[in-house]
Amino acid sequence: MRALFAGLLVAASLAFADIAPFPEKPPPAVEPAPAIVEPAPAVEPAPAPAPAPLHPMGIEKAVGSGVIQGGWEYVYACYALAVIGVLGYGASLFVRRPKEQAS
Amino acid sequence: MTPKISLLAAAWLVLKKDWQIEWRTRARLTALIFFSGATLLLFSFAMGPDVTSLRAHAHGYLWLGLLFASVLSLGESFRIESENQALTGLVLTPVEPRAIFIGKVLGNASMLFVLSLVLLPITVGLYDVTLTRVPHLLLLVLFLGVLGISAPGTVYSAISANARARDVMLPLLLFPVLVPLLLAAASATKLTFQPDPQDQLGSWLKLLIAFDLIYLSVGFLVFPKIAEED
Amino acid sequence: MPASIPLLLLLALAVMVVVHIAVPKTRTILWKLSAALGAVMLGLLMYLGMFYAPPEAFMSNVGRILYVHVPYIWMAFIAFLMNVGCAFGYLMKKSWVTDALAESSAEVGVLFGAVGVAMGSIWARPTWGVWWDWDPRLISTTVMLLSYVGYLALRSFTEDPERRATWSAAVGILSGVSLPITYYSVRWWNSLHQVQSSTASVDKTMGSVLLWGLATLLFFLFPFIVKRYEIARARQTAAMELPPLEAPRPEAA
Repeated sequence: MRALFAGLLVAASLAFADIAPFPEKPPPAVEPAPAIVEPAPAVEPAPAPAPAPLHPMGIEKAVGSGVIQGGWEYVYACYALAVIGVLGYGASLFVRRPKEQAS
Repeated sequence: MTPKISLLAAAWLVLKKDWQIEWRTRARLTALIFFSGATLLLFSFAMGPDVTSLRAHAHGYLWLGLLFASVLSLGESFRIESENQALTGLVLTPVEPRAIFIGKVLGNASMLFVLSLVLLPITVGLYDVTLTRVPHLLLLVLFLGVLGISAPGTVYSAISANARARDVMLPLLLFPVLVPLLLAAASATKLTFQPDPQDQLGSWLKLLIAFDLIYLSVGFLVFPKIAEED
Repeated sequence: MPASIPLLLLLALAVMVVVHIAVPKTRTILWKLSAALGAVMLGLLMYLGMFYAPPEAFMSNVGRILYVHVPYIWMAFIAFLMNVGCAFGYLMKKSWVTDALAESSAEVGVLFGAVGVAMGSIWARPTWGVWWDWDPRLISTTVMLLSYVGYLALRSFTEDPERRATWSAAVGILSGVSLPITYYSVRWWNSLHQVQSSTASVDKTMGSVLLWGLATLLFFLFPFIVKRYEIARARQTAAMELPPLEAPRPEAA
């Protein structure tokens, strides 16, 4: 019986492979295609956004600054979340710690 | 040494037992029909009277109605066992728990299948869909879909029948797991209600079959451990 | 190479957890070292992510969210993988250690996943114009998080420890199975989400910052899991006298 169901499991997985096979080659470079994007001029040597410091490697002179301008508040929000997540859960674990410490 | 009943024979006995219990009162089926019929009606009220839009989304409403009804149906199927400690009695018989699993899955699936057949004319009436395009494929989709609901549903209802807050626990556990099934069944049903120019129905059917097989296998492996705990 | 990085991280985590549990002498020092290292690396990550890494080609500076969003989500996946492993382990051989580890990895996974999804949503706003969208990765991550929230709810509603352990193992396995299924079934709808970020698909500098972020969060994942594990073990011990676990009922002859 177990063999039968193991076989069925394999058959089911093969069915999946048929519908959605693994990609053969590594995925292409990160290049999202968002549905809605603020219309912006294609290429222009835009200055860096006001609060952003100059890149230490001076890269933006070569790369330009992309289509989406600014958005630093989103970046700050996410990085703040990153820290809060870690600290907050650490604090919650500390508060719930077991009372005794058996040696 | 008592002769061992074969797995399928035992499953058949469990299935027949559930059918007999159900047939005596038909309470569960009647309640399910009224509940899901009312759900479909509420959908049509909530979405507004635009028949074109209702027709376009009827596949979704049908499967949502079935999903909500399944929570009631699955909950009931183990509640009848928890009365009079019937499940313990069942497990103590010289019957493998796996046979109980198969029997219960088929019992739940058949109940939901009958329900879906009854819902079809309601769907035609409320949403004005066409059932006659590929009726045999529609029946296949309905069957595979309810089987896919029953397989994980039986496992989860065995668990939640004995848990606190059981009425909330079953949908809480079951609905995330059923998302791919809902997706596949609704899309496949849409392709039977409407023309299928790119011939995608076959792929969705394959997905449904794969889903059913995987959950039947996993449930088969896991159910005995759950039944032991009761 | 890129596909093996999550497995390597999982392996590293598993090794650290096993050492912590099996070698009592390390129990006070290992997690503290890891957390301290993580804290230092987190501080550096702020600098690396916001200043050192180049602006992304299309998304410009908003793309810097990559370095925190992706590590959080990967940590959630790794924690849930650990949970599935513990679920299988428990069903094969009952052990309170496995059960406590399963509970711990589920809770930590839900935390990392929820924060990661929140970051993804914040990231989506300027890049996609919407807070949410229905594409494979988002749907399957939602399904995964909801499944494990249900798992945690079941655990908190079940009082008998042995029942709780067996039931959660079953739920953990079904939840784990649902993840690839959901992903594949939704995948071939048109996907708005980016192709999987990995070190092979991004530029070298970005790749190294991403790796830094992954390592940072791994050094936090380990202490979170072992500390939560200790809490779970303490609760188990407090709940009962720890009688020996029942052997499974013998098959009727």
